[in-house]
Amino acid sequence: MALALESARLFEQTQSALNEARRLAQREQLINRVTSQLRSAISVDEVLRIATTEMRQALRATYAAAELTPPEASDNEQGHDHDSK
Amino acid sequence: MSKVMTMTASNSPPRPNRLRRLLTPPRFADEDKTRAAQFLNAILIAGLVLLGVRMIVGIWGTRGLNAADVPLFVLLAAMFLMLLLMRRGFVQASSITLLGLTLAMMVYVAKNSEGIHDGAFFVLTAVIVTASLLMNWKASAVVAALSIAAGWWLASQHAGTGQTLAPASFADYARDTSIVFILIVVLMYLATSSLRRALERSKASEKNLREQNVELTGLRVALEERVAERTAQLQTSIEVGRAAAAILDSAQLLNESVKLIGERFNFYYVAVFTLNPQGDRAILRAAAGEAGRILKQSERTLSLSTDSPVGYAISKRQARVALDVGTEAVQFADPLLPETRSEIALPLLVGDEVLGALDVQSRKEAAFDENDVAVLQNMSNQIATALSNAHSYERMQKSLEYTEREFEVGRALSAATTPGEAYTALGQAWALLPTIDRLQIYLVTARDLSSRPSEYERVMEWDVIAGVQVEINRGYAAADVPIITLGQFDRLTVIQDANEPQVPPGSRAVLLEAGMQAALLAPLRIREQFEGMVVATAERPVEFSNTEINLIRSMADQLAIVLNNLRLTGEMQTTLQRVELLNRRLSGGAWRQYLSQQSNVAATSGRPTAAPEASRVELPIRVRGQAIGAFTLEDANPDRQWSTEELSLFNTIADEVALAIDNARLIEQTERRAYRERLITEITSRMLAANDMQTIVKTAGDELGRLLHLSRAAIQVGIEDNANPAGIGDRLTTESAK
Repeated sequence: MALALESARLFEQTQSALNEARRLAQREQLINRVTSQLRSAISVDEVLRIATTEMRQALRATYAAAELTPPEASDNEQGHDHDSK
Repeated sequence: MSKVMTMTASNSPPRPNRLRRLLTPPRFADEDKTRAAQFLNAILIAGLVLLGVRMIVGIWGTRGLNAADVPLFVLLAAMFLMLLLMRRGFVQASSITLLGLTLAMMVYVAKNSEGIHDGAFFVLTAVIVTASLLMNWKASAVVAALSIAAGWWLASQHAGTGQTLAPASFADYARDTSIVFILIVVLMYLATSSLRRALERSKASEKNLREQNVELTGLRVALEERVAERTAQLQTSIEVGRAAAAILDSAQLLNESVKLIGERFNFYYVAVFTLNPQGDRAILRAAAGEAGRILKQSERTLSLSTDSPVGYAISKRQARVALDVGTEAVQFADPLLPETRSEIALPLLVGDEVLGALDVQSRKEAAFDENDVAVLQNMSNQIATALSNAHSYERMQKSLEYTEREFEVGRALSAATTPGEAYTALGQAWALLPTIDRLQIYLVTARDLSSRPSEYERVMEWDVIAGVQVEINRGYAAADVPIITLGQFDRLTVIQDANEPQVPPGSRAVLLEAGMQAALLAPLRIREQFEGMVVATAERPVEFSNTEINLIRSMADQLAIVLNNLRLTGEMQTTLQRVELLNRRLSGGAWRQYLSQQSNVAATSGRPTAAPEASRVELPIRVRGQAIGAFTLEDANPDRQWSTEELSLFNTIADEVALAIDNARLIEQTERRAYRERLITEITSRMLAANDMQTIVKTAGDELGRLLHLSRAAIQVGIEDNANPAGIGDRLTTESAK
């Protein structure tokens, strides 16, 4: 009886570990797939397009958007930019 | 019924016992008297029986009493009376009465019968022998003399009676019987003398044996007591040995040992002295009894002079016994131990090393013999061995404790992220050292032209006694901290006692002025350069052990390493921050320039949710720490909860996207630059193909107009006129138009 219970407990632990490993593998697989697609892109627009598509699918969202905005320059940077001009 | 019968039977003594008591002769303290009583008892009982039978037979034969039976009856009564007297202790009186009465009776019977020839006269022979047996040879002689006189008297009485014998023959008969009686007396004298001498020898032998027996019994008792005493000593020795083996704390060991010895041997006072570290005095470490407690509280110490038994035992490494009796009598004058009459001190020896002495005092005179010395010396050796083991164990424990502390301090120092934390870790470790009263840490803040420290900052001070850490952060000129001059810049300096002659006078003055007696100065050396000093001081002389010195040196070295590492870490962090700022600035500028050339760089997937209550999550896009945009995810379901795992995935992909778009931007810019370079090369090659200036200028104008998608391009070539900067001198003008 004790042996059977111990076997059952070990089986559950093994199953749980297996499921966790499977889930992690799927996650890594997804990240690898997205990363390889992103690295194959040669333009910023293409990167953003791939990113929004993959993120929406991976996270099962209704809508995904990515927008780039020019960063604000600090005083030092403005001075630096001015100098560089 | 049976119970009553049993009681009745038990209340009536048995007849045989009473008869036996009646026949048994009495016993007296005097053995001769008892022996005479035995004879007299047997004679009287036999006489009573014989006379009784004779009277019964006579009365039965004559059918009544006649005149001849009267003397027998009187004799019978007299013998009974003598038996009673004898039983009451009048043995000699009864004997004399019996002899006299028998003598008189026999003479009377002989006188009334055949005179000297009558058989009754010869019974006197038995009377003479009986007198010798009952009394002594003198009584026998008296009876013999009376018998001889009676014989001569009977002979004279019969001389004129006309009997058949001649009168002379009566005299001869009386003479012969007299000689016989005298011979009997002489023989009896010889026999009794011989017997008496044998008896006296026997008595003397018995007395001697009895005395020897008493002596042996006393000897046996004394030996048993001695054995019991030895057993108790051995038992105590075993218990001391057991305690010595089981107890590892030296103070507990000594207390237990003196308590055991004092209780088991009932000694007046038991104490253990051990040598002080200098080895010139004996310190009382444990003592039993009330006096011992008082002496221990007074922290009694003794010199090692041979005047005291303890000093003698330690100096000479031999047991010393002091008694107040005998030729070497001493006076015990300790007011706390007024009853001491004997004292013994035994050295505590381990091999050739003497650790101290065991002092035992007794109320008895000459209480310690050789056996006691041997037993007590055995116990002293056990205590010494156990004390040595306990010291070794304590040293090992202390070493282990220091090692653990060193490890903990090392760990705390390694974990320190600021110099303040490092000082605190060091101070806390040092505060646990019982020998240190104050701890200060000085760092060099300025140097003179010869690179010698000119200014210090006291960054930390620990008052170990108060357990208080004082952050000073105060600067001092080198001349204002003279205590640092006590130490060396490249090695540890230890001053155990400012008053020691080898301490330089200047250093002594500095220490005493600071109210300190001992100091320990450990330099902080970073990259082989003196950068500060750890100064530990004590208000009393301290004998720093090698373990403590090594611990302090190790701590100072670790502190120096930590300070160096913190300094390097700080420099590295500053550099990293600058690099990061530069990266962010460069990246931000590049993206700002890139995006300024683009219009609305964005991408979407799916349909946007019009409802404002949609579940939404946003994440900035950061490239090298610079935010250049944002991701937005929306779900039409307003109850959608974004799990931690989903957000983690979102973050991961966002990071990859940031990396990818930065690479993509670089690729785009590289392609653009390559395209520009290629165009420049083409234009240059076309211009170089022309062979006159006009063609070159025209080619340049055409190409610029084409590249820049201009409807008209004009180029003027000339020399600037300094007098008229606005004008141009000789000009070569060309125009290009679509």
